[in-house]
Amino acid sequence: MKDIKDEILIKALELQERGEPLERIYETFPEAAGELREIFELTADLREEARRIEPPSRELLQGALRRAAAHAAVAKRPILARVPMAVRILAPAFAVALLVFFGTYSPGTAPSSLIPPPGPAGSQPADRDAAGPEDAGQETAPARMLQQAAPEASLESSALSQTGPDAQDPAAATMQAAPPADQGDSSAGAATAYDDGSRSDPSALADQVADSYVMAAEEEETTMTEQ
Amino acid sequence: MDNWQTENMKGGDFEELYETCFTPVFRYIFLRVRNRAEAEDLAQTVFLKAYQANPSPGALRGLSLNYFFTVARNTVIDHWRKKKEILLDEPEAAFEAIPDHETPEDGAMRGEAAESVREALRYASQAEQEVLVLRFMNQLSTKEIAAVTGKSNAAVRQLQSRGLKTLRRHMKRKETQ
Repeated sequence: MKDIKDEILIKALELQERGEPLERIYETFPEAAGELREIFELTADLREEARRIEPPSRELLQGALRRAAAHAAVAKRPILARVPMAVRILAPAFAVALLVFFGTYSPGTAPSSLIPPPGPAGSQPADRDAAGPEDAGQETAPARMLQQAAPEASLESSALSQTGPDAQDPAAATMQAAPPADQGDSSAGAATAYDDGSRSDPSALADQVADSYVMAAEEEETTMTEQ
Repeated sequence: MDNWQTENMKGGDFEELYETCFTPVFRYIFLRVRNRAEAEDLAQTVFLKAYQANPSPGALRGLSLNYFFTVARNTVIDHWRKKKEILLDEPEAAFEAIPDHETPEDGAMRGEAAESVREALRYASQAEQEVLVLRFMNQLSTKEIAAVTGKSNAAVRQLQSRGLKTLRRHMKRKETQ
C-alpha cells in the first residue's frame, strides 16, 4: 500500500476545510489522487458514523439543568441555613457542656481542699471515729499549733521544751543548723533562734508544725498505754 | 462553525441548547469513553459545571460550543483518572492509555460499515482519535480544535493527517483479510 506524504495530505485537508471541491483537490495533487480519494471516503464514513449515534434524551439535559438550579439555590442561602437543624441544636449544647465540664474541674479548686489533714501516726479513720473527747482535742492540737504559729512573729520556746529528747529530734537539729537570716550568725542554738521574737522563718515554722504532730502522736500513745 | 455560533446560539431556548450544544458534546464524550451510560452521566456533569461557572440566567445560551467541548474534554480526563486505570500525572500521557470501555450492547447498535470505521479508530492514538472525532464527527475547525485541546494549528493538522493514515492502513488490512 502506497502511503501518502504528510505534507500533501495536510495541504489537501486544508483545502477541503476551506471548502474547495474534492475534484479540484485531486487535480492539485494528481500523484496522490488515489490515496486522497480513499482518505476523503474515510472522512465521510466518520461523519456518517457520528450521525448513527443515538442522540441523548432531552430528560438528561433537563435533569442537568434542574440539578444546576438546585445547586444555585443552595449557594444563595445564608451559611447558617445550610447547616442541618440537628447540628444547629446539638453544637451549642455540646459547647455549653464542655464549658461546664472544664469549669467544674478547674485545676485551682480540687485536690488540696478535698484531702483532710493527716491524723496521728498509726490511727485509722474508724478508730478515730470511735475515739473519745480527749482524742479529739489531741487531734486538733497540730491544727491549733499551726494557727498559733502562723500569725505570731515570735516562736514559743515552751513548745520545744515540752519535747523530751530535743537533742535527738531531727526537727530541732534542723533548726539549730539553719542560722537566722538577719542575724547572720552561723552558730545556731535552739535558744538563740527562738529568743529573738522578731523573726518568722518559714522553715522554722514548718519544723514547729512537725514537732507538734510528733508531740500529739506521743501523747496519744501514752493515753492508749494507760488505758 | 462560525455561522453556527452566531446564528444558532442567538436567543437560544432549551431545544436550541439541546441540539446545538448538548447533542454534540454527548457525541464527543460517547466516542471518547465508548460507554453510553457513562457518556450520559458525564454529559450532564459538563452542563452542571458550565452552569455553576456561569450561574446568571441565560448565561448558558451565550457560551460557545468550544467552551462546552473544553469542559467536556477535561471532564473525560478527570473521569479516566478517577477510574484509577491510569496512574500517570501528565494529562496527555494519560490520554494515550485509555482502555476500551465499549459494552457488547454498544457494539450491537452499530452497522457493519460503521463497525469497521469505529474499530479502525481505536488503532489511532488517543490524541489522534480526539482530533478526528472533533474534526469529522463534530465538525469543528482546525482552529477550534486547537483552542479546545490546547495544541497549535500545525500540531492539530499533523495529528489529523496521521490519524487518517492509520485508519486507512487498518481498513486496507481488514479488506485483505
